[in-house]
Amino acid sequence: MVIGGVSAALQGVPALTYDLDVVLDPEQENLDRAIELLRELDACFREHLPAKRLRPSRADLDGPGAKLLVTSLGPLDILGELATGWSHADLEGRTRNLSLEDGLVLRVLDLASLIEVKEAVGREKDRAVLPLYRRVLLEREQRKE
Amino acid sequence: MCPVSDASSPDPVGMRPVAPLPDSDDGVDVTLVRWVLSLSPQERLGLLQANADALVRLRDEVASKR
Repeated sequence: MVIGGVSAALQGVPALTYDLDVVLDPEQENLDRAIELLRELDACFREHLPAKRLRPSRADLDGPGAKLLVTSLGPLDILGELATGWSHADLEGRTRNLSLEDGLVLRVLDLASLIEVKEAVGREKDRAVLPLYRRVLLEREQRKE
Repeated sequence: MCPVSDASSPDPVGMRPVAPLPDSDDGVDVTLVRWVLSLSPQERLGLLQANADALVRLRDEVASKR
């Protein structure tokens, strides 16, 4: 499930972001697939660079913490939960499926939920984007999207 | 130590936006919002990628000239 700035941008928020934030379905088979993909993408933890290229393990993907990685395709943040009380299970039913090219369907956290989380977390960087996010949501509601 | 005032600088207290944005009292550029909303998710993804690519190219250009 894609969350954060990429999710917002795909839903119409005109803002740039460099990293992709995701919350993984913690189902064991899914985590097995995820770690395989991370190996293919040569993922490693950003915090140890450039001194050491520490790669995430399968065990790292379990649990609520944030795994801040860089991959061959760019920065990737894997979150065990979006915020306290916002695990993958809690986010079920708050998502939209966006259709992209080649039949690819991307599951993203809906804009109303992104706003709710940013209001709840309330860090300065979250508050700074709220007027823009709210305006996009309002415009979309007026368009009945 | 207090910052030295520059007499030629405008008074920040009295500053106003040069051109007020239409239909917006929160400073958000609704023309940009509406334009982005007119795009498909695929087009928005392309825009995001193009902007990121452009910034990386610009950063590399600046670095190569140092």
